[in-house]
Amino acid sequence: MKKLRSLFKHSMLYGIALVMILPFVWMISTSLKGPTEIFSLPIQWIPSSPKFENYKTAITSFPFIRFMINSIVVTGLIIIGQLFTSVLAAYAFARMEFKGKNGLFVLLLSGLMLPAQTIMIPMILILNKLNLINTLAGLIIPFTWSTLIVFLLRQFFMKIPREIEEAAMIDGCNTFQIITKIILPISKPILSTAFILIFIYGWNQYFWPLLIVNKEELYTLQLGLAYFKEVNSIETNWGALMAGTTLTMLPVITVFLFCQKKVIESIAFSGGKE
Amino acid sequence: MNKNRLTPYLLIAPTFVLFTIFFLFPLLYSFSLTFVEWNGFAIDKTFVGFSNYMRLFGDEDFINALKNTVTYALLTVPLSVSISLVLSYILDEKVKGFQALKGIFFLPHIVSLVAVGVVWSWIYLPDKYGLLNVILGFFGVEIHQWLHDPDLALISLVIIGVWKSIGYNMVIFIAGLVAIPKSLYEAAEIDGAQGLQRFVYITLPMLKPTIFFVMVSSTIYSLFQIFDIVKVTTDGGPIGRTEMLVTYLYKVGFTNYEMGYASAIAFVLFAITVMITIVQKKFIEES
Amino acid sequence: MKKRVLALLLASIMLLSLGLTGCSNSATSDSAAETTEPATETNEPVAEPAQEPVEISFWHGYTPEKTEVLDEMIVEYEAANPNVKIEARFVASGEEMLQKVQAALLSGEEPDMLWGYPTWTGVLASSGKLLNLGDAMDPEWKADLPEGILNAGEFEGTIYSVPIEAGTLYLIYNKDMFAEAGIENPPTTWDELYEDAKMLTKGEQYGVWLPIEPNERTSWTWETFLWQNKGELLNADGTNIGFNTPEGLEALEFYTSLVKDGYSPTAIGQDPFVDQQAAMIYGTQGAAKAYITKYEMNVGVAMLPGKETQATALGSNHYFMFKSDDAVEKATLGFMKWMTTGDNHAEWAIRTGYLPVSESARTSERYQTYGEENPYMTEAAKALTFGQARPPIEEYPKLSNAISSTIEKIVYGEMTAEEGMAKIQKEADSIFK
Repeated sequence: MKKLRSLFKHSMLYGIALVMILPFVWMISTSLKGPTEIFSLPIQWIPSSPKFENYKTAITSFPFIRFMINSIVVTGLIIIGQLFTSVLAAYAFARMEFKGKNGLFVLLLSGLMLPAQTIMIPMILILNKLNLINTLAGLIIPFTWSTLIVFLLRQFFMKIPREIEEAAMIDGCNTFQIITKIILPISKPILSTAFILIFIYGWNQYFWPLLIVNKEELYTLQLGLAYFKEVNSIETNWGALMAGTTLTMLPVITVFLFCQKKVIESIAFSGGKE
Repeated sequence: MNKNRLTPYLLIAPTFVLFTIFFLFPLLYSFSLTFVEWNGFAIDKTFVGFSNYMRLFGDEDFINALKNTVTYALLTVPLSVSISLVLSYILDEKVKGFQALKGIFFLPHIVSLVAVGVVWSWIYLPDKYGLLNVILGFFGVEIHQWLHDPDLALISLVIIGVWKSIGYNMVIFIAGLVAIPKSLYEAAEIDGAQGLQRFVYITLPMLKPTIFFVMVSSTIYSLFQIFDIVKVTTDGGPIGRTEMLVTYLYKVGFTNYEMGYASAIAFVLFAITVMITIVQKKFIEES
Repeated sequence: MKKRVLALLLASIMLLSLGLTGCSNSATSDSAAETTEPATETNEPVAEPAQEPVEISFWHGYTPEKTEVLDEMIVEYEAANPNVKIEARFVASGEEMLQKVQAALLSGEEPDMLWGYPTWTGVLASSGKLLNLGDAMDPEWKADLPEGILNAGEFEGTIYSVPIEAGTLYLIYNKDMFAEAGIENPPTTWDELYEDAKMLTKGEQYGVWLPIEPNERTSWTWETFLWQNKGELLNADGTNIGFNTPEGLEALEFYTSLVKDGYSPTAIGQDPFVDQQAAMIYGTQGAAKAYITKYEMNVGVAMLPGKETQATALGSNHYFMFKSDDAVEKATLGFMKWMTTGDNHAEWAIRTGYLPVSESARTSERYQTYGEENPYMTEAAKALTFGQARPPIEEYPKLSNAISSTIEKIVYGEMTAEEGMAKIQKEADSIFK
């Protein structure tokens, strides 16, 4: 009985996984095809002779290394910024009592509720006033806060037993010390999760970088991928687009697997209960 | 004492300074745009009072987009949240191979929609051209037109939306599950609770705040992220069945050059989102 | 966690400084690390000019292949004009470019020269920052460009843009399918089109593909039918639509009937022509070129079937210029003229697959020879003479949307052609107010 259930569970899991991964399999298969093969019927799963030229085209059609470095810098600093601002705010909202707390939190939540296109015009005007247009800083500073991350961390912090902190307070730790010495170490799973979510957010930004920078030296990978998009689909180089997308995804997958390992490992640290 | 009272404000200050500059100001500015007629380029704007809002009532395309948006959210959010909850509950066990599975479930959240939207539109191609028809045909299912079928187009997008968001929700659920003290489960086991009971009586109540979070974020994702999905797959068709508020306001603002009216639509969307969030909060707290 | 953050911070600072030094010297020379990139605008002019060269920034949305051609031509131009330096760059394609320009105008970061669609003329002109090109161009240059396309860049009596390349719709057909169905020649009239489409339709194969999606391509294709039936898009003084007439209705009926009768697919594969789903399509010479060279198909081309008259739609891409100081404006104008006329323009057209816009390029020996070798291009070029451009009015995008979404509704059986026409009229009344 138990075995049967386990079998059912596993086949269901792997079935769903198969569906989830299918588009990626096709994406990679397309990245290895020539133009006629992409459209050939019946559908070809495995390219007859893999064409790695698409990958070559993808990295030589724009300064791949430079864009990659920009993406890493921008994403890295956005992660640091968001974690810094969000940890502090989340702690205050989770643990402290102050006037206007609920009102301020709801106000902050509203920051999730307008699509980017809507605030594009005033955003550009403000960035221009602050001399952030056409700068690397302009790609970073406006994005170093996050309602979502504050919200996420707050939910987690609220569950941490108060006794731990109270002990530290008796020892004379100030708020900042409590956060860095007590709260952060036991929050590893959620911090790792936040890390990967911010990473993806920063890495995949397209709309804002497109509008904020004009200099190619400041372009990020996602802007580079747009080089392959053509309005007329028949003239689009699908192979190169898919190859470029595949390459762009690799760092994120690596970081994700690393972060998930951290989440799992942190259970052992945080209590070691089996 | 005085210092202590200031501390929370100092802690939230960095977030709120940035929030004010990069969200609140733009928000207020955009709100002021709802009262003007402007093409987005001209030096002069014409003040038109509430006429942009009045226009919403007579705009069939707007009402259609509103209807589609609500339908889409109502289908996508519960599906995505429940599937990802079950998945993460199962994957929470330490079993070999589950790590890789998590990676796979998370993949769709990683990739930008621009490229993967194209792949999905290929999957949904009609007749013998689409992968989905080929696969289903193998099981004897008749051929469908998917994105070209007025009755199936929205459902097809729901599938993409669920596919895209499961990984995100799963990661957050996993973080929430990890935080549930194992001692609770042990105590329950002694009381004889197992499997489903364990899930209903321990996991769900403990996860309440996480569920709230996931519901709010999924709703917002479903309302806004659908933009890229629609843009690359259907562009609102067929016969307007997949036109969403976000895509409609984009068309109004950037194809028809009516910034004022587009802003008014955005604020209706804003109001809807706020309302849904409040309802969800009530719902979670009371259940 | 702390350690990781610290390490990351350090790494980022290092990377950041790397990135910044990269930017600060980019204007003068390439860093050694990037010599591997292909020909982009960073190629330095060989000659050392005596004075500081005038720098022109130029935004376009060409594909990497076309960008390569452009960059080579710029190198050639800069060699001949050492006092000019052109910073050409891909920025975004399609509507994204317009949004990008909007943001740039708000922050005063607009380029000197912009590549785009003539439909943008109205909104761009309203910013007050577009240069009046009609006044700046010399008469000889203007005379070299066909009036129809030149006027596509006109807004309220002023010419704000210069056409750089054209495209036109013509009939592209699959010769193998025609042979199989026993049809010798492509259709030349509506009746023949209907009959041939009927004969070519069998099983999963359709006779023709007429787009019905609610977008510009649908409106554009339908407009050719309107013009062929001697209908007009706008009324005489341009204050409302001009096709709520028997001719207009007939065009709407004929177009939608081909789809409703099952000779044109409502649901299409990735590309109905490459997929061999349709035997004929209304496409541009760019598409024909792709079918022939990229997809190696047995393709024939012909003028669009006519009714009362021969007509096709003419599309063009244009150069815009934003106001700047005299030297930059003059230099930009010089480059624009060089690109749009004579042998250089012929070269551009040949290598990119667009139709040449200027008479001097079309009649050049280079293009004549090319035309003989590539008859599908000459066939398209013929269409230039009777092609009609879309009116450069601010209301056009909305009108186009009304037309295409109505066509879709008629095809899906939501309304009849008469009701559809009434719907368009109603929407037009509010569009033109």
